[in-house]
Amino acid sequence: MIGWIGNTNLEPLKKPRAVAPFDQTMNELLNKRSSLYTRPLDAVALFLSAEDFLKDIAHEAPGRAKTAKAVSELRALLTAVGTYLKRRPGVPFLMNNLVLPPYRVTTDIPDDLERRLNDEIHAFRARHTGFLVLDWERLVRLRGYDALVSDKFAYLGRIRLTQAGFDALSDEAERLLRSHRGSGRKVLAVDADNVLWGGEIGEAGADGLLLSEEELGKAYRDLQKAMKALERTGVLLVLLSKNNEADVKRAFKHPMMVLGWKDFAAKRIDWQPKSENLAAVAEELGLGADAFVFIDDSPVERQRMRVSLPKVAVPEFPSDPSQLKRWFLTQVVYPHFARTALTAEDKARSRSYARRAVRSRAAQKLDTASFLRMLKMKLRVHVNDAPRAARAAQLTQRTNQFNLTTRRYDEAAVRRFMRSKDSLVLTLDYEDKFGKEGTVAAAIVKLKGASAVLDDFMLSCRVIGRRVEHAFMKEIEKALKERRVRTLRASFIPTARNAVASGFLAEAGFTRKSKNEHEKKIS
Amino acid sequence: MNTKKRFLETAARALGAKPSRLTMRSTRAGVGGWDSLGHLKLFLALEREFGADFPANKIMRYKNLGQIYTDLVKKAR
Repeated sequence: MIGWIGNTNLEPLKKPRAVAPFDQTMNELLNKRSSLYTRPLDAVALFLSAEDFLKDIAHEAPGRAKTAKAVSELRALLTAVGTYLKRRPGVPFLMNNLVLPPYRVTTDIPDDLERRLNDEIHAFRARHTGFLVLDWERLVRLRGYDALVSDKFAYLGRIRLTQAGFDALSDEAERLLRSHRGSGRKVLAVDADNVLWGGEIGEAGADGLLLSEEELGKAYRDLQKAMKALERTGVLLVLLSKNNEADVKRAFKHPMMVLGWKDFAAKRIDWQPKSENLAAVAEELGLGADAFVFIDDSPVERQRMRVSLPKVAVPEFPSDPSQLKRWFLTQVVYPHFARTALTAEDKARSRSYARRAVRSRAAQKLDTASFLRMLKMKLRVHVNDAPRAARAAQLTQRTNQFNLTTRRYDEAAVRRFMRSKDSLVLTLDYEDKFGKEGTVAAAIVKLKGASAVLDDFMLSCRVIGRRVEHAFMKEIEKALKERRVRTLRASFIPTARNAVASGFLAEAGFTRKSKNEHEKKIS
Repeated sequence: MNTKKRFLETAARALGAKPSRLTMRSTRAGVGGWDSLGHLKLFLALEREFGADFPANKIMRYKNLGQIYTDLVKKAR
């Protein structure tokens, strides 16, 4: 649950949420007996209404002195936020950027008050992991100031927003937290006809398609450009089309195509139900249906997908092609794929999955052992390597399948484990003849004299099935031996998705002590 | 759904009451969640649901749901 604080009455926010008494911001942040410290919260959100924070100067043309005073008040507030972050590390903290009212006593171009305040917030973010900026400015631009901000309810009950404003704020906070946790989706599965181009390739032929640099053909080209840009952020594209493959290949030779045949990590062009094809692709890529977003202009196909695979996100599709790009960005990308930060691994993911598809085809022809030899794997282990902290945290957050304990940590926590003499953070870098995969596994070990506990151990699904986990465990034991550790205890905590890791500890030579507890002597 | 039912359901959600317990004769005294904050939440919700705009000076004068509904229907016309 998110705990909200702010300088306006936040009671009308969507439930579930916790709301502290308003205008108690400083007390809530600093007093260890306040609700921000005593309630179990998944995240804290601070909504600062610019109107109530700036009072009269929100509508004036404030001079240098008043601007400086406002900036220093905001700095004091951020210092208190910093204190809270230090005391409650690991709890994500959200704060909005400020939007000044579009009504002022001068018609002069507004001075830089708003920019200076938001610069403070952004500079603060750069210094604090776990502090996320809730883009209120974007919401106000999208929905309009008058629709979200209310003077009436502010006069009647210190309620600064309309119900639409509160709902937008709640949704945005939830979305931001989802993307911070990396629980966004990973694959965009697209239909071809009337999505990538206007018209049906099987009927109209490549020359008859609506795809061009002018008029409505440009709407389809712009949509393809947006998809290509999304692919570059690490989202995989999959093509699901009911057509003859030769026809679709002809369409891909159209001179106005932006996306190329190879931009798709997988393609299923046949007459099978799209849900069956999507399920097969999911298996090939080692992902669950909940990693997919499916877009199709046909309401029948959308409905069949929703019924057969309810975990796939299936947004509505615009009937007016001129809306394609805006619809795609606001209804597909923003809610499902937006991230708070991109890591190098995110950017390399599409290529990596394409290589995985090549590898899994190679695997079908060979037995496992010769396939693994053929891969020519190179593994490298790092211990407490600070530049790998962000990726290690991301692995703890995102890995659901090969994960022994599914303990989630943020970057700050991983850094603390790295610095502490009572714990080790180990990471594994992977490379094979198809290319580099980057850091694919991480483990956190807690040390106590001659014994150690494996707190967290996970392996990216991109390298499951290559026995990499065994090599990693051997390296962990080596590192522990150097530190004179004799026994390593480990547990396997089953979840709905980590069955793939259930036999690993026994296979790696651990003895079972109780239901979930295992132990191994290090020699 | 007819306007009257939608009105009562919106009011019930805003006041944290069961829709079946509300009627057009319900007053502030008779509904638990209808305190001064609940009163404002009721108008926030109605403005959102029906796209209506109630003037501030009138909001504080309504005594029961029927009066609010009468004005809401007038605005919708």
